[in-house]
Amino acid sequence: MRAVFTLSRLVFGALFVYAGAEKVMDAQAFAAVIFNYQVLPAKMVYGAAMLLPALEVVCGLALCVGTLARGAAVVLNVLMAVFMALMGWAMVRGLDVTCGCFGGAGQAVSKETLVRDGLILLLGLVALWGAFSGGKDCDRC
Amino acid sequence: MLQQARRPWWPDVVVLTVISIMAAWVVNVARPQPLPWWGDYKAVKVQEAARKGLEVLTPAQAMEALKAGSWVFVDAREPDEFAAGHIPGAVNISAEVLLTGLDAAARAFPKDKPLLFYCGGISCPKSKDLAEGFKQMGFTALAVMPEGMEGWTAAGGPVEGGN
Repeated sequence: MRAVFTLSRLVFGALFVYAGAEKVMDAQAFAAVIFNYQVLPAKMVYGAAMLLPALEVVCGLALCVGTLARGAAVVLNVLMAVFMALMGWAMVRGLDVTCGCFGGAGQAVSKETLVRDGLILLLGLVALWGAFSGGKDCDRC
Repeated sequence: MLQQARRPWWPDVVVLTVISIMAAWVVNVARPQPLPWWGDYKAVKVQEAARKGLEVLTPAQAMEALKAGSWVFVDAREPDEFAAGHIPGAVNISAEVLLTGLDAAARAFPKDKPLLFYCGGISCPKSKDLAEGFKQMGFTALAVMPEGMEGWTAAGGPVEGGN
């Protein structure tokens, strides 16, 4: 089980480091994605476009190296759940938006992106379980 | 065996959030053009167009321009988007021509012809990019409607083509 926890922690963390880095590189494009979701006031779009990718990279790195891993696992799972809820909400409203999952350009929100994120969330829940499982996975959790 | 009491997890979240805010701030300061933390997204996009030396028209002003017939409306979107509905009388010059060469498209108009560019919406950069391309070709009367088709239809502007 320890190997499963370790693997999930590393893969889930690395996915967020990659996704966050893509968004950091092109914050303007990610701001456009956030704006198009129509859930944040226009004044909060740029702040979110800068803070969310930083959270993804910092928490992803923390999870990968096993430092502050419980907090990182909580933050990333909450982010994942929020992203999925927003995607679902965009689909319900019939918005034609790119998911913004790995930066500005990319796939439009669809059932496929929702299922893919569902699988990633499942991986994240395993990583969360590992991080809270009494430190059997990482010494510094 | 007694298990050692574990510290709570929530301070980790606070620490990670503070580190993230600091990292985001540092990265933003290092950008060639830092983004405003509390800047109105729409206003910033309009300012971007104005900074490029382009006249900026609201959908209401563009409707007046359409009535006056003083501007040629240029739709910078893809041909399928144009076919799905566009401003009456607009010509379609997809921003893709910026990659393939503007010469042929630019030869269609005299250099002093007033051209008004638009694309999908406020997030769409195509109208500004294409207008900038025409500016570099020596065109002198260029304007953009940054709010694009979304702003146009929201303001009740007439639409030609599509369903």
